[in-house]
Amino acid sequence: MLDQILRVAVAGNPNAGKSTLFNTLTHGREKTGNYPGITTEAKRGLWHDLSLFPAGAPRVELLDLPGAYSLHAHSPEEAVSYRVLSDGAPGSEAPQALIVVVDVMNLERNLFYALQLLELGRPTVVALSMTDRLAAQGGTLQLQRLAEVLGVPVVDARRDDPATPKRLADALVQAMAAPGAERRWIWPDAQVEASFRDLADRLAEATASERRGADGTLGWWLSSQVEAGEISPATAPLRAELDALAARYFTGEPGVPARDQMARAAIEARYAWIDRKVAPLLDLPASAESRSDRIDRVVTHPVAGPLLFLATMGLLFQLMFVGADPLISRIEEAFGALGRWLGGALPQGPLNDLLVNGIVAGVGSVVVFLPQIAILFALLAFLDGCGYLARAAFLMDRVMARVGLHGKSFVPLLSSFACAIPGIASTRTIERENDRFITILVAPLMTCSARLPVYALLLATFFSDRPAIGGVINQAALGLFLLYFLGTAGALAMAWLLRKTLLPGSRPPLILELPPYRLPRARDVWYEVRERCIGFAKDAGTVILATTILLWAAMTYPRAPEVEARFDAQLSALHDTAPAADAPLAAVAAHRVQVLRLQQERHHAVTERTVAGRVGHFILPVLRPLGFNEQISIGLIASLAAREVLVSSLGVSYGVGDDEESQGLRMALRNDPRMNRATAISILVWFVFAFQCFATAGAVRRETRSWKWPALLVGYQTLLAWVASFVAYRGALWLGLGGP
Amino acid sequence: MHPTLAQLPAGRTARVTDLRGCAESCQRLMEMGFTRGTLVEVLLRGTPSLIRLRHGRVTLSAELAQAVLVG
Repeated sequence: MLDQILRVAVAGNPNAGKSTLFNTLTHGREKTGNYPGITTEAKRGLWHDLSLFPAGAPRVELLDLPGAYSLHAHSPEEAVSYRVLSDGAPGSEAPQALIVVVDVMNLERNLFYALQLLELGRPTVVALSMTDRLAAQGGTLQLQRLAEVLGVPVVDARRDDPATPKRLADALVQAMAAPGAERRWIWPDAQVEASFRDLADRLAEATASERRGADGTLGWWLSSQVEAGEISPATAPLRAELDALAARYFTGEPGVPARDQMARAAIEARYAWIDRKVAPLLDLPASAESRSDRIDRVVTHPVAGPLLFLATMGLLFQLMFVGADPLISRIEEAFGALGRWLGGALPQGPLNDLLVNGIVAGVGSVVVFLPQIAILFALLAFLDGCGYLARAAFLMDRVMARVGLHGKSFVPLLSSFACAIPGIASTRTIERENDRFITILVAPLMTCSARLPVYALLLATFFSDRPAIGGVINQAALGLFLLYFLGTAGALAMAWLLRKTLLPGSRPPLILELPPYRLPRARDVWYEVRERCIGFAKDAGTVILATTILLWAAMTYPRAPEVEARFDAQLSALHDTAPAADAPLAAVAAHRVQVLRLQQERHHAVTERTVAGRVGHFILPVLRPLGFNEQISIGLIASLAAREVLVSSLGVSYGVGDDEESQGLRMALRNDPRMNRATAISILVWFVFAFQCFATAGAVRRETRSWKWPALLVGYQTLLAWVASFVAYRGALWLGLGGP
Repeated sequence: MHPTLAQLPAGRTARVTDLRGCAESCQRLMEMGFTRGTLVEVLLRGTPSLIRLRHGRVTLSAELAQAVLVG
């Protein structure tokens, strides 16, 4: 242990308890960032309690690898582990040791991946999770014998035992001190070993000399699995040799490529080894029915299951809205107050304007998303920790299958109800690229929280006091439901269309593990929420802030000082003729209206000459068939920073209060002769479908590694929004909703 | 001809005899424990079906359940 920092990867199957262990060891003090050499985010953190290690030992940095079932990756998320572990480039930060988390309740299947990791030949500790549950069910595992069989330290790493970190630290020290592990490859039989050993050794040496697979111990099996793109000049001839040898040896099944047969033989060899050597060490009474089985009997029931699912989703949305609402108002108030204070405290001028209307407003429009994102991800982390999300994916698979997606697309789409950006990131668990891209491209149609202020304003202004469905609910509530429904239906329809056209494919096969139910720890949920919020602020926040500042500039420049001066002179003249405080009320009111009207005119005249005003004017002919006026047109441009900006933009252009609760804004909208229920419906439908968020385009670019898909997203959303708004507007006019 | 996992009624237990016609997915099935000789139990039949194997529970879409031959 000469290095100053010892890098240790924490690996294991999904649901094995990896992140829980990582949180326990790091006390949640992690940093998320791009892992050097790969572009995927990985969580890293320092082992918190240094006193567990001998004096002078290096600090231990832990790397939380995404859960995987095999080093042979089937999804982008799984690919991370292989890329990190095989990265042996000079100066790389490849982990020097491994902690492999193995769920004892699922010992055989977890050990499969563990065996692959052991074949890498790095110092390794096997950490057994869920041992408390094993004991509770009356089972036992011969831990010492397992360590002997595996040839590495094996420790009991149960979740709620304070001694777990100490046991792991001791085992890690022991593993690091052990002499270099020899290659432990598991061969199907002696004949295969005799035939392949020499070639596999040479392959391993070749990969080692390229410093891929730091110790050069990528097994013969792994060599045969590496994606074609990763063949390098040095290994290419050897791989050809491997293929030739495989073709001679693995001929048992006609029609199956020899290399596939070889891979299958390797998998079966591992499981056979586990069945022979490890299974006898585990004594797990075949209890009649576990607690999870009993819960699943209800949760996966054909009738009760979907009902429970709907109730859960209903509760989730209820908590999300009710819980976030007061926080959102607080945040809006606080940023409004901050803006007013700054605006007053600093000298007038462009800098003041930039600070108040650009930066403070921009930061505010990022922070305002956080309550809903935090609440949704707290609930999702809880449901995931319990094991319910896997069941939800199971239940939704049938619905998703109708549009050519599978159950794993469900969670990303659900997350998109808060914000599409984390939703898009969570598609990494989907195996096939086409399935994943479809999910990414339709996620922005789910109704995110940024649309809500716009929905709230327009629904409250034009529909709130009218009863619907025989007075059971009012039209505004019904409208909100319809808008959510429209977005979801649009997403599913687009998924179907993309599947039929640009991203074809058969129905994706679903293989999903349903983990045992378990109550998650509060701190694991909290760390997850914190990570999501920081991630959102970093990814989306920077783009939203930048766009807000850019749009502030577009809405401000070029300035027209002569126009401003002319209006200011008129305003000040008007101010001089103000009636005295004790004048008749009618006179005061009339004067106030005059001032407001002049301010509004000033705003229009100034905005008209800015970049945004010109663009708004330029695109107006395209938007006019949808019933949009110039204010809306400019507002739509402003809302490219973030959708909810439409509200404040309208507020400013009507010269009244600028939030969706503002009575003034509602009055102004109602009194505008160009606005009516038909135009409101048209705007609402536009907001359901239109592309209005550059941060989303950035996320799509990052996940698809191409500008083609974000371009397609912008194109199809705009077209869809236009057509849908046009149909909605004309339909509303036909229904007679175009009147006052 | 062996029946497939998709044809087993709920509650039945059988051993995997082979996998066929699923290429990439077959490999994943095997990695998740569906190797020849493994004991599997059908907990729920349908799309997708729910299977117990090696102390765990895995859900499979119909195409995959059809790819697992049992006997």
